[in-house]
Amino acid sequence: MDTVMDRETLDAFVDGALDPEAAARVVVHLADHPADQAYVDRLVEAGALLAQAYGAPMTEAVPERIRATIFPQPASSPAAARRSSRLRAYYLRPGRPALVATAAAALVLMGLAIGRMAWSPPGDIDLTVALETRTSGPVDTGEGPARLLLVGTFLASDGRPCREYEILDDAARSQTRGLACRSGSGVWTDEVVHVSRLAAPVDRSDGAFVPAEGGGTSAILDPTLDRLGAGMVLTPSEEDALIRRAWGP
Amino acid sequence: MDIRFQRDLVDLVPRLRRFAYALSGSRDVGDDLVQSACERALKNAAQFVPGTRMDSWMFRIIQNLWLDQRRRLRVRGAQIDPDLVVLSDEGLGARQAEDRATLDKVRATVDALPEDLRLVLALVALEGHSYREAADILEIPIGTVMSRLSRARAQLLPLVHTPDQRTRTWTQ
Repeated sequence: MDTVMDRETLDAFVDGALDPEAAARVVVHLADHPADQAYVDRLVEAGALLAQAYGAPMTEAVPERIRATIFPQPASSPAAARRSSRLRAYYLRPGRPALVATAAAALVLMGLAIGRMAWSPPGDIDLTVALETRTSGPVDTGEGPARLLLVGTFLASDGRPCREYEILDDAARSQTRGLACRSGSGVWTDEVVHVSRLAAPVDRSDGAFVPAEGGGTSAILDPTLDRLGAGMVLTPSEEDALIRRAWGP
Repeated sequence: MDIRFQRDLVDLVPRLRRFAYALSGSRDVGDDLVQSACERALKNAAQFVPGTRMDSWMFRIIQNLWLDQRRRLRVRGAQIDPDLVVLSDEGLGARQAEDRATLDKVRATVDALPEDLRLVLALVALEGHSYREAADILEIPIGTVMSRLSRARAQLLPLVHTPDQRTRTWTQ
């Protein structure tokens, strides 16, 4: 007799809610019951339609107002803000981590020599000066191809202030992400630097980016954050006060 | 709260926006919801237990904000074009999935669903949560999740072209 399986079971099958044995029974059943197979196909199609109907946010940069809510930053000059919009939007671009993950030329440097940056930031960026004197947010780096974003500041468990930064170099198509900490004697030292070649040039238009496959941004720097015992992110006013005191108590 | 909390939150934003869009039926209202939810999350970051799922936590915040807002307003925020609401089998034509009109009708149909059905549909069919996770987020029994999902899908299925039609297209 051609028994029809109940819809609840077929729904659960499509939603991956059945245990392996039950799912296997459904698979066998569907092979001999085209009407149920058609129902399952339509459920899958409906899911695909839903994903398309509401998919736009998945390929868009995070809107500035939402980003500003998550990463509150002091207001920057209009010129810096203009310059920064591309970089900020790029930094938050959905799928941007995929570029990092798939970059064949990715290079990670860890445990660098104390007392100096062991690599040269691209272009005309003076990273040490920026780390020492600028609050988090995009840093005005002149008209060169490289752009610097100071992502945030936190205190390590040993009390050192540490800062996360990102440099995008349009000319070299490279992206550099790093964590640097300041010693008591005032020297910024990289704890980790990750350099990757971008698979595609950075889009020049504000906010309109080509979508890429998604992924988490956290994996690259997380081990170092764990090692440092990263504490709370400083608020803009706390950060500003520290810089004004030349990072002193 | 450490910097990972903020970075994890930013990573989630595209999904939060998609969910809020489906919930509210409006890009702008959805983004307002996401922004408010992020504010609330940052304010209550200490309540988040590291190692647990941030997405479930955020979806719960968004749905609470949305329901609060709805209770205050007592009316739907988004205006629905009645011409777009198709609950009959009118959508059984051989439309392609990428057909813009079809997607408009999908949105209109989802918009016309009762709130509780729309929430379950968005969490399970759109965001891929398990029945258990959706039940936990919405604080309802699993059986209720399944029945609401089934009723929501019953409204959507007439918009899906039939496999027979699709097969014919492939074999032509």
